[in-house]
Amino acid sequence: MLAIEGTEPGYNTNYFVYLIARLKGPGWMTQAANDKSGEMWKDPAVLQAAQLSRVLWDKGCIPEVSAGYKWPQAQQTIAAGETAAELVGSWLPTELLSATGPDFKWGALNFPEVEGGVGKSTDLNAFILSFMILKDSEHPQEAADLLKFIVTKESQQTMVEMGAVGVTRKGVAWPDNIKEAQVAAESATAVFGEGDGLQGSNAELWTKVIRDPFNNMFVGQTTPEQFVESLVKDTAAYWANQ
Amino acid sequence: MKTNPRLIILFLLPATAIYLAFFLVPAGWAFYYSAFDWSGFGEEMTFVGFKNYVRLMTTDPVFWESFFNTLKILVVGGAATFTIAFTLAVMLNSGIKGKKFFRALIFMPQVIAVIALTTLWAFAIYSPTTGVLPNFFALIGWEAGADYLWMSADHVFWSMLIAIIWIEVGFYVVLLLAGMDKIPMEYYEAARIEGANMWRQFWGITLPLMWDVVTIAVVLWSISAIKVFEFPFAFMGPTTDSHLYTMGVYLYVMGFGKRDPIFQLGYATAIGVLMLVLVVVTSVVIRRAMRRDVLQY
Repeated sequence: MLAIEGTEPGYNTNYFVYLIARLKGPGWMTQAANDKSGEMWKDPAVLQAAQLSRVLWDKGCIPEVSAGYKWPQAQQTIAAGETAAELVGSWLPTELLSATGPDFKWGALNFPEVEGGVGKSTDLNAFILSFMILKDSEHPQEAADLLKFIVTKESQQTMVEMGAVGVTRKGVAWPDNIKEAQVAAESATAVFGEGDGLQGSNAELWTKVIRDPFNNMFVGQTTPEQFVESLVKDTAAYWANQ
Repeated sequence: MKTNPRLIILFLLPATAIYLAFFLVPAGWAFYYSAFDWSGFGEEMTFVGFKNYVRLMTTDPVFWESFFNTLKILVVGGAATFTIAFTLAVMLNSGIKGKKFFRALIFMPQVIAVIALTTLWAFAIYSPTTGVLPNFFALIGWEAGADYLWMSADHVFWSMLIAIIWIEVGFYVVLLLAGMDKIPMEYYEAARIEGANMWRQFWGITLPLMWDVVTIAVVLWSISAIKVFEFPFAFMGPTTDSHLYTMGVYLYVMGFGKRDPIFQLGYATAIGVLMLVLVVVTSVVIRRAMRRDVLQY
């Protein structure tokens, strides 16, 4: 069984993002969103991705009750042993530590490839946190020195040990409970951000045109066909207003 | 007594200055900013005139969803809140023992932080696994009730409205009770002697003699309903489900994004201006519709 936070579109839309990336390749979703006519969404792969996400419900891979879960109820069912997996990031073991205890056996796997698709199972959806120094900073040199300190092997090791998170510096082993995630990160053939990067580059279109309507379809309020129809219409309407 | 107009002006000046500085001036600025395409960061502002309003009214279905959600809270929530509040106030005013205790109990949700209340309703009452309601229905063998998903996309708005009504009723009970308290008991005694039942007493004495309080209460409700923000915002997880968007939530989402960097402060300000207009229009309509001759007693 899969853990699904029914009322959390931010998590659930990862299914759509991954399925599109596997069918059409990373970056395609951004291209479709930026097609001002909305016509790119008519590609059969989009409807296929929507239908495949619904298959998880139809085949009983997701407990019906999940539609009524408010985050973080579904992920708690992993700790309780009621579900086996959730499509989520490597932060989950940390979030669930108080519920699972330190001896819980964690594992991770890459999102599988889809038959006939061009995307690889090693193409990775990653939410990477970054640092930056503003150009008008009063003390840019000190800020740069701080960043240098943060990426030293010792500091990164401390982050792994104290924060139980993965880090970007090579040669620093991630915590045991997310070691598969490190393998996935190091062997990634492509990396794409939240919503194929749209969450950062065009948050309004991402949330209103793609994410929330997808979740309505995912939990059964609309059909995959209606969802694709709304993608075409609302993308065109969005760009017409810009 | 002779009044000195200059002295009156002098006394009114500080309050007027504060009101102007903290309400009217920002409201004026809001009208100004709503005419710009502006992220809220930096000085790059593009004048777009009424375009934000046109876009809101003609091509933004999410705005209309949030508008109608607000309207449902205002009308359906208002009707339910006042029906329950009147019922409880009349019961408390009927001379029952422990009036102060029950009044405090009913008012209790008003003093609890909204974030605690949303947690209570989402996890302790509505949750399909740990919630009191599904478990109670399962206990009495009502399967349909036990399986009802209060937090699902189909039902979450009405589940939220029930919780909001539960929270707000306490405030209006206290307000209505204050109005009922000032009505002389002799009127009720005389009515009882004449054979009037409680229903008749309510319509013939209670309601007409506290009409001014009712009017104020309805205006206060309409203002708070149009501004509803905290409960729907906190009722969900990291992302607010669009089924719970009110105008206030949508304003925040468009301006500040919750966890998505939308940052359209000019557009969001236009929503704020529409909310202000809605509050003013609703208040005026209610005041006019509920205008009655003042009864002296």
